[in-house]
Amino acid sequence: MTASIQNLTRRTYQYWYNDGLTELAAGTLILLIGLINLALALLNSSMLNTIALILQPLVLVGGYFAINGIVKSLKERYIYPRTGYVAYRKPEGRRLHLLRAMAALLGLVIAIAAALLLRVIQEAWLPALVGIFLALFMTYLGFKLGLIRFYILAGFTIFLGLAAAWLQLNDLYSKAFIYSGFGLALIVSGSLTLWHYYQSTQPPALEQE
Amino acid sequence: MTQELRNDLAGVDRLIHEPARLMIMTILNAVDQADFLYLLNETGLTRGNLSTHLSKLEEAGYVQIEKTFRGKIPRTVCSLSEDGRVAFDKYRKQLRQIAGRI
Repeated sequence: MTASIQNLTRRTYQYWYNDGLTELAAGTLILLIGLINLALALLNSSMLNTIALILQPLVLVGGYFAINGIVKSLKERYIYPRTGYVAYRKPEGRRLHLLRAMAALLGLVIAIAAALLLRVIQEAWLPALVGIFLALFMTYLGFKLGLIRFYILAGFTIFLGLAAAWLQLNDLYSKAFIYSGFGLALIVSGSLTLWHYYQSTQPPALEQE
Repeated sequence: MTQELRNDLAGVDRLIHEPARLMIMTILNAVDQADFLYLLNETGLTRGNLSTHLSKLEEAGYVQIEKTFRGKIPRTVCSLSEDGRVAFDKYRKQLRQIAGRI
């Protein structure tokens, strides 16, 4: 028995991210959003911008469910036969309501914080704010899962936000820059993680107990 | 050693308290289900050893074991029963109490 009892629960939560597939899938979606923003910036059509603004939440939500489905299928085919199957507990009842309330509250707090900060800082620094919020999310994931690469991604995201602000890119170009950069970083991180996963694990056995 | 500490130590669930079974229960408590291969990799036990411990936990009603198929490949899926979760929570509280008395 080599595993420390204290780390077992954390390792079990980390397992979902050990193969990098979630980062690859999320990175692809975010890169796609970045490229859509770039296309809108280049086309410079107010009608297209309005349509994109309306469709973006649908793309995000639809993309989230698509990612989930794709990642689960890929894990079923390539990961679970290699290192085992895990199904995580979904929050239910009171805990689910509490999580939803906390997510809504967090969204509200972020929106209020952003609105208040915009009164103080110049609009040109808004991309830096976006970078910081993304970095906070990655930092939280890194802390919760104990995965150092998420801290690195957080640092890179701050750099992206500051770079976009320094370059004084307009709204669409800065979104294209940040989202494309973040998406590419996730794809690189996911690819390296997947490569490491395949290097460090055995091919699947034909039978189980 | 105080009488309370002696009582606490005597009351610890010895089925869970065994290191290998404690690892199995800890992993299963964190998830809804895990299969035999995952438990094998994470615990570092041999196949025979893991089977034996799972059987003991199943006999006690703490773990449910389901043999299914993924395509043509058999898969053994394990999960904590409701009794298992209750027993594990009780065990954790007992350990905290013991740690507090030491």
